[in-house]
Amino acid sequence: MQLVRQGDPRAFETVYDRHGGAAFSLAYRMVGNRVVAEDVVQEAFLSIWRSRLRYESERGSVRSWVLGIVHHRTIDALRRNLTHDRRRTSAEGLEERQEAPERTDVEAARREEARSVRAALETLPDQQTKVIELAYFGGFTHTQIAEMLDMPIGTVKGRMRLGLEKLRRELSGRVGELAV
Amino acid sequence: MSIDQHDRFQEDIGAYLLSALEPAEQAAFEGHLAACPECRAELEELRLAADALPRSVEPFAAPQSLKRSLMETVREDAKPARRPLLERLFGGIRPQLVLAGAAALLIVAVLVGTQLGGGEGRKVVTAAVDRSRVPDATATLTLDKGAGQLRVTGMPHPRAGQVYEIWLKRGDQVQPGPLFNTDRSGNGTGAIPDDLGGVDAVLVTREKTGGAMKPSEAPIISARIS
Repeated sequence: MQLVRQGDPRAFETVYDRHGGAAFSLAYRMVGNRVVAEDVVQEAFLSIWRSRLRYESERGSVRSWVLGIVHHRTIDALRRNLTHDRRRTSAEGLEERQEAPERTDVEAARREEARSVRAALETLPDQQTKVIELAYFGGFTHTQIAEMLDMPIGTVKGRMRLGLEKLRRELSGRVGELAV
Repeated sequence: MSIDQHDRFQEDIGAYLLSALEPAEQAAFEGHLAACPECRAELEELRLAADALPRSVEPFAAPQSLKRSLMETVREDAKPARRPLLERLFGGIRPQLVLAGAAALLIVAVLVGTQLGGGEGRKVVTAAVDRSRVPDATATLTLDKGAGQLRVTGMPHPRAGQVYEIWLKRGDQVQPGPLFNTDRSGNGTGAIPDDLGGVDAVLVTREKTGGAMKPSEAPIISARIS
């Protein structure tokens, strides 16, 4: 990241090559529409390029940092421009799904990592998985989720916290399966 | 801080990590976090789980057109500036006139933002920012039914022990408003639930955690609304 901080486009291109696929996959998973996902990822990477001095290595890996920015940008886009109903009923994304080919060891490792995290998620009680997925991937606030599921806000918040705690414990037992 | 208040904030940790808090709650939570080592420790533990969530996603190939378009912009950005922007735009005009023109443009931008930015009953104001202190920042104020929401991007995360504070300016009086923070990507939102009747401008300064009763510095953001 040192060269990126200094404004080197080639170094930035390397960052995109390493993390652009994961960023696009996350945005696409959240919005279900390739065009919107592309817009969000482009906006996120441009903000990374233009604010590159703000990356702090002690706060986590570059990948987590990049995906955190993409996640926030996607939520902004969802809450600003899109209705959740439209997103849910859009068939476009499903028609255009194009899985990344497993061409390299890195891609194979990423796919295995995804399987491992999903397996950890599957150990959570359904109610905890549901609130976590609605919030993280759906971009819904706890208030909206409480209304949707017809449950008290305190219950929603509690399930989010307990679910993350259980997921953390599950993942700590699978450290060897997670790519860096 | 009472134990009840602490417990209430502690219950918000999961929702905060999942970006599921309402903007005003998020600002309050971040204010608490700055002063609570116990909540910070739990947050960092649970962050490991939250950070793993995007890794559960099935990988999809990003289109090549996305990279081409992105890198074109990046390479254009990276070209050394031959002359300052104002000079390029207004070459040959005396600097004083350029600055006066720029000030007029800012006013026009605010007015255009005010008049064109809103939907029915809503008004969106583009705020002026102090580029010498927050060079990458942008800010917009959305006014709707007497309440306001200030959205910022490109703002640095406040230093430890600091928070952003909103001020409501009515004539010569400046009244403290809500506090807010920014996330790792420099985005933040401050919700202003009070009646904004009679408010001339919404200002932002950097203050100590917990906020101040009077601004300690000149505003870094200023949104004129009348």
